[in-house]
Amino acid sequence: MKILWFSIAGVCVLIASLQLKKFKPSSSEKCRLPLSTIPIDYCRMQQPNGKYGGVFVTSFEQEPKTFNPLTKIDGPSNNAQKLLFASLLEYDYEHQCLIPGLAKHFTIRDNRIYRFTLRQGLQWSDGYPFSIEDVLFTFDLLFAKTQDDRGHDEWQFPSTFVNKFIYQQKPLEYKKINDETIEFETPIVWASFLEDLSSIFILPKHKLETSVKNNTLLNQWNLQTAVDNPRDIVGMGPFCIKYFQPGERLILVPNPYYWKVDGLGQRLPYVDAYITQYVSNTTVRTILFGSGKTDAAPIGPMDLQWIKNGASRYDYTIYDRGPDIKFTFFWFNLQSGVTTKGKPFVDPYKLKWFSDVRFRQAILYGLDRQGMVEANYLGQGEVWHSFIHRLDSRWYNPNLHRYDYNPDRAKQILKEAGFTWDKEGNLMDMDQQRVCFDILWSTSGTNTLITTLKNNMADLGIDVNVINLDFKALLEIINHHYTYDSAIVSFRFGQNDPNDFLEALHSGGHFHYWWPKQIQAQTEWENEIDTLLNLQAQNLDVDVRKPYWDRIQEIMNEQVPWMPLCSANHFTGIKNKWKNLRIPPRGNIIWNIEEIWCDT
Amino acid sequence: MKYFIGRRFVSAVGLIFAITGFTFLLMHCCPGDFLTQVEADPSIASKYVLSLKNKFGLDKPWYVQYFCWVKCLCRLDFGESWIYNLPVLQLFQQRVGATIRLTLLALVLGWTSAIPCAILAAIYVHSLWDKAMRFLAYLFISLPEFFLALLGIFFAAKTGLFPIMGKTSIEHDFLTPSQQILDTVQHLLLPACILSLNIFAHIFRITRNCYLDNLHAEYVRVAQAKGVSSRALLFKHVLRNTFNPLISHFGFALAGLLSGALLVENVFNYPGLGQLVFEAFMAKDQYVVMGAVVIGGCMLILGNLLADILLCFNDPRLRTTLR
Repeated sequence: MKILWFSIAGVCVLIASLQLKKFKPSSSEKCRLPLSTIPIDYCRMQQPNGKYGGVFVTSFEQEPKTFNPLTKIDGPSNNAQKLLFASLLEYDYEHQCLIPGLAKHFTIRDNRIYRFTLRQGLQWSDGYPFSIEDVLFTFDLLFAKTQDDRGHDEWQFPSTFVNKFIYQQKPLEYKKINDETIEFETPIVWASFLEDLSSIFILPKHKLETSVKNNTLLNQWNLQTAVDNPRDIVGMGPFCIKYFQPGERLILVPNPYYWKVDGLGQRLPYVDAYITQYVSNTTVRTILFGSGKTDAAPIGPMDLQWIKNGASRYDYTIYDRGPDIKFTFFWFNLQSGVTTKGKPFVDPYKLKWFSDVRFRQAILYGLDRQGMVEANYLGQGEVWHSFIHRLDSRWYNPNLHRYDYNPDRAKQILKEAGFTWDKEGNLMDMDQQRVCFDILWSTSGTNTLITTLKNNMADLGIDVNVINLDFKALLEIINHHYTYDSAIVSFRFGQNDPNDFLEALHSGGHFHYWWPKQIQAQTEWENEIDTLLNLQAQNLDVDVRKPYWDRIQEIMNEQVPWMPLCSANHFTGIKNKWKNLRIPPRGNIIWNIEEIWCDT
Repeated sequence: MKYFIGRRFVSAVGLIFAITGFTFLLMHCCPGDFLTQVEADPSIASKYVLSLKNKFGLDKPWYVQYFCWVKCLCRLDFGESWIYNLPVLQLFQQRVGATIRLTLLALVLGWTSAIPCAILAAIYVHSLWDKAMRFLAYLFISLPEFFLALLGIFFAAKTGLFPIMGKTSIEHDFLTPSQQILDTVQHLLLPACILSLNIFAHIFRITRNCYLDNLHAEYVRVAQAKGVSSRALLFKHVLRNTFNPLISHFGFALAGLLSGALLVENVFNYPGLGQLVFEAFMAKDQYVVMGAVVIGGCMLILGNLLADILLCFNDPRLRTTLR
């Protein structure tokens, strides 16, 4: 009995002692590395000058899976690597354009030949000089070939990037002009070349050359390296790794040799450390921000109100950044093929309805998309009228026909298309077959939206059978089995150039969901879209490309092969102590982290 | 005894193959694979996904993949995690310490509190103490672990006595070594307490019932008649006989050392093995899942074996049976 009481008392004393001991973090100064000399070709930032200090704390649902730019296939790894590495060109999210990065300027000849002049006197985060050899080394790695067991050529270091630089089976060509200049030549004119180039992080030859020789490059810079030897991961980005604990947090400290300075010539970044804490889900992330434990976080529409309540207590501001580029869309399966067992992908009588453009238009008229915004996002969202959002003024076509909710118009179109209603109000086709279809969806985000859709369809006399699937199972069906009537998903396509929709719009594309991977376009309008896509890709000038994209949007709007529904508004909260914020309409709110400074 | 241990090891090998084969088959029955989600990312070229499929062997039938993996396993190569591009064992090594710390503390808290409480409850049967303890044991056994964890987080948030999540605090790396230890302990206590509640309930019930059975056994009456003191009777003879079912249970507890904290780790965002395996299972990172199954299976077999050996030491009758 005594032992029991002693144990209980011991635990109480331990808890009490822990509470009495208030942690006082040692000065954050110790994580700042000594500043070295400023490089000759430094990049002077235009923002107001700040002062050194402060620790920026943020959280994220998923940790990076690798620190090797060649092996990343996920967003979290890319987000972490953006802070460690740099490219020839960078993206200015505020003005939505490309700006010079490691290259101080570039020229374009014949719309195909790009000549980049590199900044001189730059150093890697370990102090080793940066040179054109590093750029050549990076592209050599991308295009390095080896032979498989059967003697066929294959990529020695396969990565997700290499396919971006293969144009009609011909690879990108590049050569060194002199110690400062490198020239790239695309075999055809390719509109998004610069965009693609900005996604390539330049790698340090002096660090990785050995691993290339012994063919272990793809195993380099994994999570274990970040745990055991974080200093081994060398980049040209604003930060380098100080500490990484899998599943817990990543602590970054300023790169002592970073090549950007402020107006006073102070080397950036200003913050002493950048900490990312990894949490299990979005709710925890929101709670951490709402209780003042992190400095910035995206806020979902459902959490907006209670987060706003804490704004004065924890001194933060919520920014409304307009609709998220991740939008929800709905489509009918238009494939006329059969499975390996000879069963049609879609029942022929259903395919007859789905293939009729009037049926698709009527369905879109019958969908109360504003109601979906109200129900799903508490009104904090927006209806989409094209696959490009209206805020993207460079590419959006404002003259598109709007399919605002109009069930009467929907019924009228259906009547014109030969559909009728029976006594119970059920929609019947010309062969007196009742109109009903299955819809696949996954619980990963659309929630109450599907209820609105089902009710809207019931109002038209259509019976919708909702099939709720695990996201992977849904993807398996829409990407490989094709045996479904319709589906609804949310996806985030590219952010910067409409060329990112290529795979979705081109009839041969993998993401051409209503009928993917067509060998030859099956309809005239798909053929026209293919032609327009090819034409626009062969021009670099936005003004020349715009009319092509206007027409593509018109066709998609008229044919409605997929129906853009809506997206939630994008809110981000950040503490007011952080200055030099340049809030972009989309992308990471602290995309210019190197310029951000703390005024307390 | 040697023959017994040898026989158990041989049967263990077959058992491991059966468990892993069945797990592998089940994983392949679920639609999609590791690359299904990667394939759905518009920024990743389909050609690259195909090359990854080929590299990972996902284009081969499941049984071919399974036998390739078994072949590697025979060389103690557990394969590589596709998510992390790291050997499975290295990945486990990163997290195993945190999980063992958590489960071990939970075991110690659970067992050391349950046994004395149960003995007291049995001695003072039907007393207020007994009733209160029985009520608590029923409560802890009925409430699911994840719900208890959520209550724990609510308690931590309301009182501020404990941190609500994680293994260490954000400022951990800027603290002195002694502060770091305190910080770790502070983060460990609440999840360990939550885990220990279920252990407490189980051990309490087993110990109390067994102790009560022994208290009413014939040999106790004989001992009392022979004039054995109550102290010796309660804490020597009865207690020792109560240990047998506890030792059997200890085998299972040992198996739970690495895999028993999955739910609590996920709720508390505690970066241990459970969280890793859960993530791997959701992503179908199959060799990580298989590695966890093998290790879990081995721990269960070893735990049972150890329990049997300990039983032999505690109960001389069993030694004769094993022979």
